[in-house]
Amino acid sequence: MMELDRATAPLRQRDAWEGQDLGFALARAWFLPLWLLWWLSVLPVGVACLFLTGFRPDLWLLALWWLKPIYEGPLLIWASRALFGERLGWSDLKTLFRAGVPRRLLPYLLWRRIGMRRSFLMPLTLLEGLQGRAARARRQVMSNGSGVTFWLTLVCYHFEIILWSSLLLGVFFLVPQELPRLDLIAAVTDDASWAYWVSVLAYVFAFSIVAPFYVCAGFALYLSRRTELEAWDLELAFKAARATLAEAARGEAQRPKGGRVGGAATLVLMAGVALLASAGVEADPRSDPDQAKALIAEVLAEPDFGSVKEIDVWVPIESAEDEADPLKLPEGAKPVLLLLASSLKWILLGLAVAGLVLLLVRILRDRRRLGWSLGRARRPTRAPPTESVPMVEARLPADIAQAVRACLRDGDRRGALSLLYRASLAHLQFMGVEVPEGATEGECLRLAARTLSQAQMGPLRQVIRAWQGFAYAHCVPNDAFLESLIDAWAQWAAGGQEPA
Amino acid sequence: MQPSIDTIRFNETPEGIDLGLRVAGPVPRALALVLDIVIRMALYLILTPLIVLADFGLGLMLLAFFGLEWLYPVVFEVWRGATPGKRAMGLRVVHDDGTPIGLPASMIRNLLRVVDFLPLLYGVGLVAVLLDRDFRRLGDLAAGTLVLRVDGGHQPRGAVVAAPVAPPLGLGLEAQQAILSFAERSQRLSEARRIELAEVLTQASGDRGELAVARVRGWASWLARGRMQESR
Repeated sequence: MMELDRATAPLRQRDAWEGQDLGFALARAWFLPLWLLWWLSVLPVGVACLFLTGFRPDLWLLALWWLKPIYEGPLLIWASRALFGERLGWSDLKTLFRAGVPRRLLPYLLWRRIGMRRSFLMPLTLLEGLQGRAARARRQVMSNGSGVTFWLTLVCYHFEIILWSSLLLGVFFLVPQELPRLDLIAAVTDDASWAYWVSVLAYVFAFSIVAPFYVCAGFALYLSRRTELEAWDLELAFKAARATLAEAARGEAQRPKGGRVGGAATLVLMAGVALLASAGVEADPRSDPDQAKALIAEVLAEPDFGSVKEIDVWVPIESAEDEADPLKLPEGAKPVLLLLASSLKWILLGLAVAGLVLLLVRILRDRRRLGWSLGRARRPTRAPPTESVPMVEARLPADIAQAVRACLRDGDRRGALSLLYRASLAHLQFMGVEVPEGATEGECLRLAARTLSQAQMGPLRQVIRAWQGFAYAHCVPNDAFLESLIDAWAQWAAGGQEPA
Repeated sequence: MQPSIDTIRFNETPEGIDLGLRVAGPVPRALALVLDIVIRMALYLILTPLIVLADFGLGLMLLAFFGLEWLYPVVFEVWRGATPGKRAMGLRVVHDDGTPIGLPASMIRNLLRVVDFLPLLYGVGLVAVLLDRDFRRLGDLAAGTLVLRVDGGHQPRGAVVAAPVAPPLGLGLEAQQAILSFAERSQRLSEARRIELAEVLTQASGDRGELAVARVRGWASWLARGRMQESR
């Protein structure tokens, strides 16, 4: 007899539908080991079938489908052990396969293969090991005529189809358009295409997903039927009841001593009552209440009254210390601490006020300076552009080339290039090219190119490019290039002045 | 000790009562869905003659199709607790605390059918149902609903015909229920099994064979009478 009390799933009366639901719950809990086990048994078979079918995907899939009971056997054995808390591991694979694929499985690979009750009947063959007439009688007893086993198989076939088509369509939808696409028509009809192989593999994957659920559902159906036939739930309940009764009886056997004391106490009490009753005739019945109280307390202290309960309660460990801490402070410390705290408060307040005052002063000062600088910055924008040009020119040194060379000698390349650029702009203005305020370097170049010829523009293009490269890309031009630029510029400036 | 695996979800009410909700698995749900689709198809067929009314009829028909497609499950779930297909399979839709489903949850649940249907024939829904502990599809997860099994839990209790015998003291509630259940089911058990079970309980008193069975049935009768008085 199995040890029913070790069952992982509670054994209770279930109808067939609930039984197969339990199977789905079991398979979900054990999915990973069952799934791996399925692949372990399908891989060698699949490789062998690949050669036997001559690499024809349709025949290969049919062969794999037909041989399903071979991979379901070990799954069933594993599940039946797992139900009673025994998890078979890698080391038990041999026994698993020996028990899962015995010779009596053969009918399931031949005439019984197309039957719709496979998952329910396989536990009978594999777990009970019956054969021939006995097996037939047993099947008759176990099948209760409910169609659940049939529906289970039918629905599981459809689950496979749904998973397969969802997988194919998912791949079809999710693969980007640039990549080779899955030809859905070829995947279903053209058995020479690679798409067909993808579809076949997707189908095998669907087998692997559904197989644990199917096997466990059949096993759970078998379980619930046996629970119903053999009242396993009652056996468990009766055994538990017997245990409690035996415990109670043992308690009874150990009690006589206590019982006797209790009896004595009762006798004393009765005697007391009798005494009191007789005394009542002559005097106050409450003459000796203390004695009666003591007696009552003694009687109530007997184990027969009330009960002892053991209750586990979580108590925070720190709370006691936290409460004790303030008490531990020395007497004089409290006013000192209070003084410290209040003085700290005033110091903080003072600091805050000082910070505010400092901030206010800074804001006022900055505002004055800001207003002054804003006023200065605003003036040129308000002034007409014609006025600004001479200003730019005015701020330029008289001998540009000399000034640039001086800058270079000081190592101020930025100043040198900037000066060169500004001087170029001034020169452009001089040559009659209107450069609007705020024009970018590129716009200046385009404006110049529109009105001036290539020869007239001189080194302008190089100057602007060098300036742009330096200012925005931090490309430092070498000295020789700068020198040639200055020379070219000087020539340009001199040449430009000639026609004027 | 491994956690116990079962399809019952216990939900404690504020009154301290543990309600056992038996969630329904993918197979009955799929069959219920197919039944509902068949029923809807039949309704569509009945509606097609509207097309003789030309454009007006076509418009009416399309409106009716739209209403049927989207509101059929909602109306039935809010009104009766389950669509006809689910009812036939003995299923019912409830909130996950066991209360009857309301309009908002039912709307969410059935609007998300579209997501569960992707990419084809409830592929996403099937995977969700297989993955989830309570067999919920995405719509159920969003709406906070469960599909429960409601029938089959209560077998009719046959009267226990036996002379009442007082059972031993100290039997727990579960043991008493098991004794009652034994009296009701003992006729369906094989004789050997019946005796074996009864002897488990009567070991102390030393009754053997059919005597043990009779004694346990007597206890059951005693317990049943007590219960009947209680209920009066």
